[in-house]
Amino acid sequence: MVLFSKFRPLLQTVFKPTQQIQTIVKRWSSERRMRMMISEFNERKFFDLFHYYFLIGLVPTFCVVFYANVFVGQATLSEIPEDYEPRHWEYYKHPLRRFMAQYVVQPFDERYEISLHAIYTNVMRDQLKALERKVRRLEHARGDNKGWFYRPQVDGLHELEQKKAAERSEGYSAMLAPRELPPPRSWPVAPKTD
Amino acid sequence: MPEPTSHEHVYGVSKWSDLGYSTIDMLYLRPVRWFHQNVVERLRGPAYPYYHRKFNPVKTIDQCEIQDQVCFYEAEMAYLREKRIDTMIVEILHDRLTRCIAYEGRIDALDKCAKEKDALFESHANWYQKYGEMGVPHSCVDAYMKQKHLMIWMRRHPEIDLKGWAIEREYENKTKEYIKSIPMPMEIR
Repeated sequence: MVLFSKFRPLLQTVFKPTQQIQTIVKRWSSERRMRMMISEFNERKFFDLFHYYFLIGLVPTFCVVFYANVFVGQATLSEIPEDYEPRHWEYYKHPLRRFMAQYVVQPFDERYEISLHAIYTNVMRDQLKALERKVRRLEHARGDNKGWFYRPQVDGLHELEQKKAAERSEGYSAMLAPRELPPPRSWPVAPKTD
Repeated sequence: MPEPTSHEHVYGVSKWSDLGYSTIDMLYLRPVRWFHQNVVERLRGPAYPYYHRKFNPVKTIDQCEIQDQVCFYEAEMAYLREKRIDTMIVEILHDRLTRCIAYEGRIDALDKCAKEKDALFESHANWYQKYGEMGVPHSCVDAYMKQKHLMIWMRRHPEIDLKGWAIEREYENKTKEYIKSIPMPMEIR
C-alpha cells in the first residue's frame, strides 16, 4: 500500500522517451520547459482517502485487538468458588467480549428478569381490568347497589328541602319561628343600636 | 466443543502432502509458534478466570399452576436451553464420526468407527423423539404432549422397534457384503 506512490516513477523509468510520447501525451522536460503531465488529482485523492480511513479506523482497531490478545490474554475456565457470585461479565472468555459485557451490553440475567417482571405486571393489569369489567357487568345486570365509583356529593338545598318537608308533615305551630330573621337595613340609614 | 486436532503429520505418505505441509509449516505454523512462545508468553499479564454459567432449577411445564404466565415463561426458557444443549451434543457426536472417517478412511471406517456411528444414531434418534416433527414454531406444551402421546403409544405397541436398529444393522451388513463381493486383489483390500 505504501508502494503505490512508487508506480508512476517506475513507469517513467521503464519506457524510453520516444515510446512515452507514443503512449501518453507527455513531453520530456528540457532545462526551460514546463512539464505537462496527466492529471494526478484522482490518484492523490484516492490515496489520501485510503490512508485517512486506514489510519483513523484500522490502525486503532488493530492496536486494541493486538493489545487485548497479546498483553491481556484470554481467561481460563475455573470452578466457581464457594460463597462467591461471579459478576455477569466474568462468564466470558475473550477480554474484548468481557469489556462489551461490562460496559456496553445489557446483562443476560437482567434481560430475563425484566421479561419476568413485564409478564407479571401485564398479568396483574389484565386481572384487575377483568375484575372491573365483571363488577360493572353485575351492577348493570342486578342494579341493586350504587356504583363502587359513586362519590356522594353534599347538597345543602336538598337537605333543607327534606327538613322543611319533615316540618310541614309534622304540622304548623305558632311557636315556630322563621329560620332566621331578615338582615338589618343598611339603607338609607343604619338603625341606631343603643 | 469438538476435540482439538493434534499437530501430527506422518511424513512419508506422499511427497506432495509432505511438500504442502512443509510449506504451511514454514510460512504459518513456525512463525506463529515462535511469536507465541517468545513474545506473547513473555508479555502476557496475569491469568484470570472465567466461569461456566449455572442456571437455577425451575419448575417444568407439568408442575406449573394454571394461568401462571411467569412459570410458563421460565419453563419455556429452560426447555429452549435444554434443546440447544442437546443439539450441540448431537453435533459433537457427528463431528467425532466425521473425524474418525477422515482418519481411518472410508472403507476401514465401516469396521473401526462402529462405536461413534452407534452413538450418533442413538443420540439422533433420541433428539428426534424429543424435539422433532412438532413443527416450527412449537412450545414446551407441544413437547410435553408429544411425550405423553409417545408413552401411550409405546405402552400400546411394546414390540415395535422405534429407533430402527434392525434396519440399521441390516444396511451395514449389506454394505459390507457388497464391498466384499467386489473383485479386488488382496494387496489392495
